[in-house]
Amino acid sequence: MSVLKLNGPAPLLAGVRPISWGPRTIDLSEVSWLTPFDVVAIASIRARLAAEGRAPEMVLPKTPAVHKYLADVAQPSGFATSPQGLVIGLKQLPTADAWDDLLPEIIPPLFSGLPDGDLARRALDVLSELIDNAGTHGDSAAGTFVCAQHYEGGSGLPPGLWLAVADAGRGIPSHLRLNPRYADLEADEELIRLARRPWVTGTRDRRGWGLVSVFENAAGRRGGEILIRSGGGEGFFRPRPERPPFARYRPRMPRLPGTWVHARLGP
Amino acid sequence: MHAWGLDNSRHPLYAFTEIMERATHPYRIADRWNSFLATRDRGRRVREDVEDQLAKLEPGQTLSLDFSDVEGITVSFGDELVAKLIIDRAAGPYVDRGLVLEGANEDVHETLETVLARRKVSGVGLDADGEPEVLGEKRWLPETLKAAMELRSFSAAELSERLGLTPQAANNRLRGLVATGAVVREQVIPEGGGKEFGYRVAVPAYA
Repeated sequence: MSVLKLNGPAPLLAGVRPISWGPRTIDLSEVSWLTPFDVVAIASIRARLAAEGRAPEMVLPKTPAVHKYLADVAQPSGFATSPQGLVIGLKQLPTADAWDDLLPEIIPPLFSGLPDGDLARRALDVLSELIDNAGTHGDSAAGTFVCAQHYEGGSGLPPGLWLAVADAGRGIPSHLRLNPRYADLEADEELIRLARRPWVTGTRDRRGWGLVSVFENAAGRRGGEILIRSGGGEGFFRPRPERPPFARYRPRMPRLPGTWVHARLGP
Repeated sequence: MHAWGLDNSRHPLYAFTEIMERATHPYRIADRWNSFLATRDRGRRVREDVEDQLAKLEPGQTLSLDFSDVEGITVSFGDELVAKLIIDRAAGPYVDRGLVLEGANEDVHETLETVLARRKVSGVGLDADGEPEVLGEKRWLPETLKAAMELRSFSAAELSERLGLTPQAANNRLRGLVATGAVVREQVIPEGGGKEFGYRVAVPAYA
């Protein structure tokens, strides 16, 4: 029986590599804390398997605080009232357009739960682009998952707004290979690097400023970073004031079923 | 004499019908959709609806994309709706129908500037007094729009003379101005026959 055993702090963001992403059990019992990235990734794995008729058994965290966090974040209205500073609870979006319909519910706590309106607006720019991209390259019956949290830095984590979007679709590399121009590129990480550029797309649509381009614009002088894991590759990008941005792209196995993105907008 | 040979401006009936023909049709986004708009998916749906409305207008009429009561838009939505709408209109069959933007608050205004500048295209927004302002790529457009508003309806030769430009330079500028939506291009039959284009300002206060 295959078990995806997650331990310690932020296990999926930290980069756990299981034997496969199709477990019968997801064991969170030894998790010491979770980030929005972990939450959307777990939800995405679970929803994909459930859509295939083999929903995994969930073993919940033993630590009461982590257990409560998971319960708070999964509530339909798990917003800024949380003592952890939760801003957007876990949302499952069947289509990108569904995000627009949720905004009247999301915007008031987002703007009231953050220190300034500019950060909220920039967060919406990044989340909306990520959700659009997930809708395009995701194409998954499980939909797209979104979660966000504001950290003030007291816990030792880099402060700012942590955003996470995950889908269980075909992934960025496979999507870009639909474009004949990129069909022969074998390295997934190279295709993730291309996704950084404006106007790179797997379709004939004229969309796209590039995942990273929108993030870079939103981060501005606030700083932050974006981590993209998709298919068999990973990309990490950090803009730096007055210096060229830091970027790193590398292969990553086992292949991820879909795309998971973490983005942090600095305070 | 009218710029393209139709001297109807002094007749009350013609004046009335001309006003009717030039009517501005508002498209209030907040009423039809939402007060905050985010995704490309939604932007595409709104754009398709706006293009349907544009198709229903008569040549010479103007569609005013009204952002009143819209609290915010993302760059993704703004690009998908406004930037692509302007690009499609300029390349499509509706260059004889005007398009202006109005009612944008400070945040929406800033986003519109960003998305248009990044696509290297321009649109025309109206301030609270109905005065036009070029958004996005500026270049020589403000000066050319000002000259066009003074002329209201004109030929390329008249604009060329007003700005002291060669006919070719005036035509280039007119192409850019028509692309913004603030001026419409109409095919006219000049005295003596043949075909040529006439231009008319589509900004409501100057139409």
